[in-house]
Formats: sequence, structure tokens, C-alpha cells
Amino acid sequence: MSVLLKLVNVTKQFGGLIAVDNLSMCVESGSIHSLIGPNGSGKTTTTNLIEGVYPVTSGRIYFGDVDITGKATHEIAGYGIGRTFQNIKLYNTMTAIENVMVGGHELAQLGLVASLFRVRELNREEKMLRQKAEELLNYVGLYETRDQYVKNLPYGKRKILEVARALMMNPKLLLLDEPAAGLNPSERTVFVNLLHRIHNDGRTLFLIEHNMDVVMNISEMITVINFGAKIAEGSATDVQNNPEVIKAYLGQRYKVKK
Amino acid sequence: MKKTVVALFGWILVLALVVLIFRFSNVYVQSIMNMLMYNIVLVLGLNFITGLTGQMNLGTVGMLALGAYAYGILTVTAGWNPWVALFAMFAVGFAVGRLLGYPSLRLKGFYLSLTTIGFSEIIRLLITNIEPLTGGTMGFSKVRRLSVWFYESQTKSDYFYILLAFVVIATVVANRIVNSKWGRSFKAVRDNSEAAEASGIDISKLKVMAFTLAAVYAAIGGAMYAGYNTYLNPSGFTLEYSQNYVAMLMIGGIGTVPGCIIGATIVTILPELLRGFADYYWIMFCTVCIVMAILVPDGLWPLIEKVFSRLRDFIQSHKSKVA
Repeated sequence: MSVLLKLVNVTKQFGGLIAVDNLSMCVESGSIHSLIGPNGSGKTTTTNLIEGVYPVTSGRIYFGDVDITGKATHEIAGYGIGRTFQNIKLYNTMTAIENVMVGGHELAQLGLVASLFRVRELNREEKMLRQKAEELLNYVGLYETRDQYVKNLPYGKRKILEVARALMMNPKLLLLDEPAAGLNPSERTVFVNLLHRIHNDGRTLFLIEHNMDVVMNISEMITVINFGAKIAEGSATDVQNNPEVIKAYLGQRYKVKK
Repeated sequence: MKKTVVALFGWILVLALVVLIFRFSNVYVQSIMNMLMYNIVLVLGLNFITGLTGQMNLGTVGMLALGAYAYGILTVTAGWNPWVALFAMFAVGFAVGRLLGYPSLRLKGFYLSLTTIGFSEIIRLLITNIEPLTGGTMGFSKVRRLSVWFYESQTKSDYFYILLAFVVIATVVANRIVNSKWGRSFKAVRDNSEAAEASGIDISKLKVMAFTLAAVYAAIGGAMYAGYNTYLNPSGFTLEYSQNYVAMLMIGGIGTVPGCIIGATIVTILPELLRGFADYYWIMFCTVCIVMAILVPDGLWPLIEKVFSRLRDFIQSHKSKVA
């Protein structure tokens, strides 16, 4: 398997606070990789560094063969990294399908002026976007709610809608920041099934998650960080038995019984 | 498909109605309708930046003044053909849009509004003081009008038909943009710029684009204004007009093309209806604006749309009952 996302000695300092400390990790293509750690350990900062929301203090980030360090967020998204947010960020004045269609901004090629004159091409692009958005809504199971305004949707559906929007741009890598947070157990099952399906369709997933049920069940590889530094990496069982992880984060309860 | 046919029919009906009303009105009403024409174009432009992209622009009148004076100077002082001058307005609008758009990337909220107010005041003061070019407070007169080979306006009022043609084109263009992926992307920037960036949208580029669109619309509106009035004076470009354009947007329904037109109509006509109140006119006008902001915060068009969809549902349910 090839490496899809590679962080090399990435450090992020906010003034005197070291949020991410010399972190190196690889996300293999086609895997489900989770990043876990206690509150304030730098997980969300790491995603924001990958997405280019903050500049890194030092170190480099590679996506495939491309060095994406210091690139603008929209460029990085254009290389094929889709993301969802910890606290849902949807476009509240638009309907569900329109939200998903915005995700396809880069799929439609026509410029603003060109779209005024090339009527037929614009209509074709619009139809293409709508069709793809409908397919995706069907895929995630929100087809019935396509014409509803996002503000009227329940929390769980909004979380799923964010995934659909991210999928709209055909990402190779999907970054999910706490996807299961705030979901009830039945919604969580639906969500985990969806993640499995997305994974089976050949996408790489990178999760940040607090919910151990989700993490331990679906991850192929887990990286644990504490105070911004990596303290363990490996499969679910490896991580669960790592004394340092137990001390810093999991507690005795999660130790696998022999 | 059916929905677009209904919409098209609606537009044609409105257009025919407007022409009819104009045809059978006195000169006073006709002059208001002429004012309405360039107001609509300006609000449609403002809609891109303030309505869709959510950047409060209080400098519309500055853009309008630049367009009007540029058109005037080009047609009179430089002696250009009005049509060539009109095409030059695209360049003027483009330049102004870039000029205002780039600073707007670093400013948000109130600070951006203040900057745009500053911009329009600078323009007004420049116009007042560069007397050799603009005529200063004495004004700038005898601006030339546009004419086409089959139609030349004989009276001031008759210029309406040419202005109406502009409004139709401006509306069609605005409608296309609002309902395309660009309209959605503008709204995405307004609703949540972080998410828009993560969807691969370059928000800086989009904001500058929206500013440019607004400025091009305003410059064209300026050419319409100058052509209609044929006389320009800096006192016609004060801050209160910029506020009026925002009020039009707010009352009609932010982000929608029909909303812009409804808002422009109401705010253009309202002062005339309230003339009778004389000294108390401003109090009445502001009261109406505040009441509307409280009762219909989303503007009138969403309300009308809701009524229409209720009606449609009602008819459909009635039909199915019969069947």
C-alpha cells in the first residue's frame, strides 16, 4: 500500500504553547486511520494544519507526491481532501441538495462570464451537479430530505449531510473531525455503517474521534497523541494494551483481557 | 420545466404591465418610474455583494457617482459616442470593483462598512473639488443620451424604454448568476466561509468577484442615471442614498432577484406616497422601514413565495380529492 498523507516532523506553536510537537505520521492509501488523544492534545489543530487553516511552524506535509505545506485551504481541498467539522458547518439558508452541490464547485468548469453566454453548457453542468448530488444523497440515505432547508434538519442528518458535501468533490482522503460526537447510539450505528460503505468504495478515511466504540471497531490504524506529541501507533489491540496510552487517555477499563 | 415556464410568464406579465402603466401615466409618475429603473439595476448589483456574499457595502452611491460622471465626461468632454462610453463603463466598474474588493479581504463587518462609506465620501468630495473636470458644485450638464437606430427618445420621460431594456438585461443576467453555481458559492461564503474554503472555493477570489459585479452594475446604473437626468450634481450622491439601496435590498428580500425589484419599487415609491407628511416624512419613512424589518425580516419576496407555494399545495390537494 502506498502512503497517501504524510506528516514529517510537524510542529505548531501558538506563542509559547506547543499545540503539535514534532508529529510524524503516515496515512496509508485505502485505510481507516484514527487520531485519538485527550482533550486539548492537538487533534483538531492537526486537522487544521493538514487542511491549511493554520500555517505550520515547522515540518512538512505531503499528500501523495505533492508537498501541501503552506498551501491555501481551497487549493488543498482541490488536491482531494474533503473534510467535515466538529461543530457542523453547513449553509443554513440553502436546501440540503444545494449544500451538497456547493461541494461540487470545482467540478463545474465554467467561469462567471462564460456561464452567462454559454447557456446550454451551463444547463448541462447544472444538471450534472444536481444528478451527482442526488446520487450522493441517495447513497448516504438523505434523498427524501433533499429539498428541505438545512436549518430544519435534525442534528444527526446534518452530520451525514456534511459527509455528502465532502464526498461531492470526489476526495481521495476524507477527514472527519469527531463524526460521532453528539449522536445517539442508533444514529451512531447508521453513521458507522456509512463510513464502512465509503471505505469499501475505495476512499481513505482519517478520523478524529472520542467515542471508543467507533474508533476501536472501524480503525485499521490508530495514532495516539498527548500534549501534541505521538505516544503510540498501531492496531486497536496494540494501542489498547500500550501502558502509556492507558495512563494518558483510555484508563484501565479498555485494557484487552487476555 | 413547468416552474420555469410559469416564471417566464410572470416576468412577461410584469413587463407588459409596467409598459402599460408607463404609457398611461402623467409625467410625474413617469419620472418616478425612470428613477426606479436605475435603482433596480443598482440594487441588483448590490445584491451580489451584500445580499449573496454578505459583505455590507454602504458605498453604492460612490460607485454610482463614478459611473455617472465617467459616462458624462466621456460623452461630453471627450466627445465619445454614448455606446462606446457605455462599454467603457464595464472597465470603470471592473477597476472600481478591484479597488474596493481587495481591501475588503482584510476587513470584516463594521470596518468594511466604514471603509465603503469612506470610499463614497472620497468620491463625492473629489467630484466637488475637481472643478475643471466635473463642474464642481455648479454641476455637470448636457450629458448625451443613448439612442438606437430605430428609436430615439424625444422627451426626458421617453428615455424610459431604453432604461427598461437595460433593466431587462440586468435582471436576466442577475437571475442567471444567482441561480447558477456562482450564486450558490456566493451564498456559501456568506453562510459559512470556512466550510466554503474546505469545499475548494477560493473565498478571496469570490469576494473580489462579487465586488466587481456590484461595481459594474453600479457603473452601468450610473450611465443610466446620467443619461436620464442629463445633469449631474455632487449633492445627488450623499450617503443617505447608499442607505436607501440597503433598505431596498432588506425590504424586498436579500439574495433574490424578484426581491430586489420589489424592494427597489417600494423604496422608490414610498417617499412619493409620503410627500403629504411634509416635515414628518422622514419619521414616517423610517418607521415603515423598521416595522418591515421587525415583521418581515427576510423581506417580502420569501413571504410572497410562501403564499404561492401554499396556494399551489392547496390546488393540488383539491385536485387529488376530486380525482
